[in-house]
Amino acid sequence: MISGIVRAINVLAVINLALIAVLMLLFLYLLFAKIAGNRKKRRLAEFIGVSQSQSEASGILQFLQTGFVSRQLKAGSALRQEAIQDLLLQRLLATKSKTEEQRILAFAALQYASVYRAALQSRRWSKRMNALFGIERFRLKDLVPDLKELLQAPKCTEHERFLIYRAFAVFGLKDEVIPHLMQSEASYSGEQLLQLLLPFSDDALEQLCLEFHLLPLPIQRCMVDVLRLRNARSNVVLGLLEDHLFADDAELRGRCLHAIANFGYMSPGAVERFMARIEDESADSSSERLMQAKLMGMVREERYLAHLERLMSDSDYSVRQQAGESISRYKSGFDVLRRISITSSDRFAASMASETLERRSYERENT
Amino acid sequence: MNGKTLDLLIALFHGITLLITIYVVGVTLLYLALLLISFKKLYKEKGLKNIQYDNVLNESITPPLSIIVPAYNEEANIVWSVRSLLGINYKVYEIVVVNDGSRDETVQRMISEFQMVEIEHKVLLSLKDTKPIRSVYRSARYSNLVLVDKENGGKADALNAGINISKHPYFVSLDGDTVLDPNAFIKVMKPIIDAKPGEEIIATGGSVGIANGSYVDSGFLGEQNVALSRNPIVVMQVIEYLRAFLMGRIGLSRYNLLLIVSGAFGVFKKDWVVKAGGYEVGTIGEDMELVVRLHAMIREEKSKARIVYVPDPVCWTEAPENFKILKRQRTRWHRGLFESLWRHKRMIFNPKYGRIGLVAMPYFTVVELLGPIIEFFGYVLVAAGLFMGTLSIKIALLLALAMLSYGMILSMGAVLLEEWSWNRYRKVSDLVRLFFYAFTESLWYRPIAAYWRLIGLIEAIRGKRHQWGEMTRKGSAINSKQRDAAS
Repeated sequence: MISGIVRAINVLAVINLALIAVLMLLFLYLLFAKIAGNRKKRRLAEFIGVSQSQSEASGILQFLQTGFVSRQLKAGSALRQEAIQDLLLQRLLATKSKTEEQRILAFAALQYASVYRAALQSRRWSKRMNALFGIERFRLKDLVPDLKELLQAPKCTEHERFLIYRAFAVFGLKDEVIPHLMQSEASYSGEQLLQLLLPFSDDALEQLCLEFHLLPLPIQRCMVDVLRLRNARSNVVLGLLEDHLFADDAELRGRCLHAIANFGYMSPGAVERFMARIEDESADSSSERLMQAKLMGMVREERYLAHLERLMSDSDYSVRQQAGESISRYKSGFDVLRRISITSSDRFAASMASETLERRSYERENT
Repeated sequence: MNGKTLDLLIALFHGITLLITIYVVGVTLLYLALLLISFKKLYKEKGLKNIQYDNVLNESITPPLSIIVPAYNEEANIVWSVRSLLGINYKVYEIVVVNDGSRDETVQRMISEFQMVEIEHKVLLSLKDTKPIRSVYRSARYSNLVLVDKENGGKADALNAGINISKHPYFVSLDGDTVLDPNAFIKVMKPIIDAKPGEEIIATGGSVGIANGSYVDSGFLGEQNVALSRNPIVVMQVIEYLRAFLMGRIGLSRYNLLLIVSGAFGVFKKDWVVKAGGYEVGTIGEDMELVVRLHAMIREEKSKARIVYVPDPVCWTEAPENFKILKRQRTRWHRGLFESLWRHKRMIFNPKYGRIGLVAMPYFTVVELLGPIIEFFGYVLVAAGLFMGTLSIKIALLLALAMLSYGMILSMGAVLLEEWSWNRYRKVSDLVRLFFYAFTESLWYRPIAAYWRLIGLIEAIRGKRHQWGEMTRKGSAINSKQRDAAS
């Protein structure tokens, strides 16, 4: 047996020594690569420093201010070109100037379309992903055929597919995005769906409102959030939200409540139906009760106060907190809260009323 | 000693030698497999730009976060930590500082710096009993800053109090002295945002680095300010962290086998933690214990929930600068590991818990927990073999060489993997030092660390209790531009 162990140890030792030798070689390679890389980075840092400064030598600054494309912007090493690209990408995110934005987009369309087209063909996933981020941010609509080609390629991963459709959404290609979502809505998270719907124009969203009943439930839920986040305010939107205030799906109901609270208005008919609903039965889910309480604070009707008082005794802390908050928004709110804090037999309700009063008066003092 | 006893001893010796050889070969292969998995993932993601986070940050799609900062005698750090948290790159968040009965000026510092005003009637959720809350404060200057002042109950108790008072669906547990990467929060939240329907991510953690020697600017450590400490003890810990994070956690996370989300920085889904009963008070490794419990819950509820590790560096922590404190830290960690595994021993080799029971728990028990004992036995065995004459000097040397070279390979491999993938240490001299220290790691640091872990294991078996503040940090090993300016 000993001889077997000796053999095994021998083999192990030889393998280990060989691996150490390989690691040594790799180290030497990485060391020289680092020395060369650091030198390039130093030069690049100097260039970026000048580019970001207010110096006249900054070709980027000159371009952003006047639209003049100097040689500095178009020529130079690949590394420098990449640095300029990154600077412009960051600038696009930060700029508030429409002119500047238009200048960058026009320049990118001329300068980077071919670079990204080549990158989309790369075998490296990260390279293709970086290209997709750039195409979306620079809104390179000319590359749509290339993106469609990538969609068909076996190498296209889920992440890439998502980014391609997000770029389509940014380009306003609703007819590409929606059919895709109808087929594969189950493979996207709520947050991803949101990213795919949020970029749509107001007109496209309004159009989608009309087709709302055709959309699968996860997209309907997301669509309601989009309307709220985009602060869409039209009769079509209000009608849609009110129609689904009593939908079968509790989550959709909750989101519609949230969106209407954000809207700040309900038609008289919807107020009546809502009143009847909350008096008839209490919502099962605490998140729905929370949103009901929120809505009753934003769309104020004196009749809601009694129900809000009931919600002050809710088993869920956040519902009690929101109910207190909503009551405090009414004219008589502080009196109601004071009464609850003194007379309520429910310890939780009284405590929450006191807390709300304290917080609101504190906020008033400090604003 | 008669001939029969001697024969028995020799047979026993051979048996143990065989077992240890199998163990060494097995562990070597396992680490190499984990190294390959890590390499594959890092290769795929190498060069991916940070622009990927911009879109997510720009829309209203990042889930709101509660950042819980337990603090015990943190008067030196707390204001500085909170200031950096107030400037993080994230959309909606609140900061809940929990003072766990500090005996210093932690609360007063907070009150005066951030104009904290006491709230008399804060209704608590009472999800879990904690030590009594003395007061709750809100900042008059920052609406998202809350301070909870409670009686001393340990870090786990402080975290539970923070969970009780937090209002958002996800919370981050953060050590008082953690230095953050500017994109830390969005990096760890990204897997949650990208989770497919039905694939719930209930916890995420990221790679932790060692901040000693680096330059921290306003509480953040940007990539251009990372530097390697001159202290050899710290350099060895850097290598150790690289090995653990680059080789272990990426590979384990790939198969949902990760049992540790670092206490320095981890995101958790609140409802799962509440359902699990919060942090276990009185444990040393409360972070690992919670993660193991969450895994148990996932299996028991037949859920598809996952715990994910993000390879990107997200935060930095200050490492001990001398042997005395390092020994204290390592023995404590090992006691924590023992406690977590002991409490959940029913899961080990239990098919009911799937891969966690059959792979992760045995791995952490045999390799991580009992590794020092086996290593120790290895040394004893070689000495005994030489003494008994059953092992020639040649074999002993070969065995030692195999063990040492195996350690070197993993350490040097981790350093090279870091250089190739992230390239965090900008200076050429830092790379050279890291590589050659990695070369020597097996010769001196590893045996010392194994000895400390062995002591930790013995202490754990003997039932040594845990106390707050065993690790003293002064923040002096990190170069801070803000602090320099202040002084």
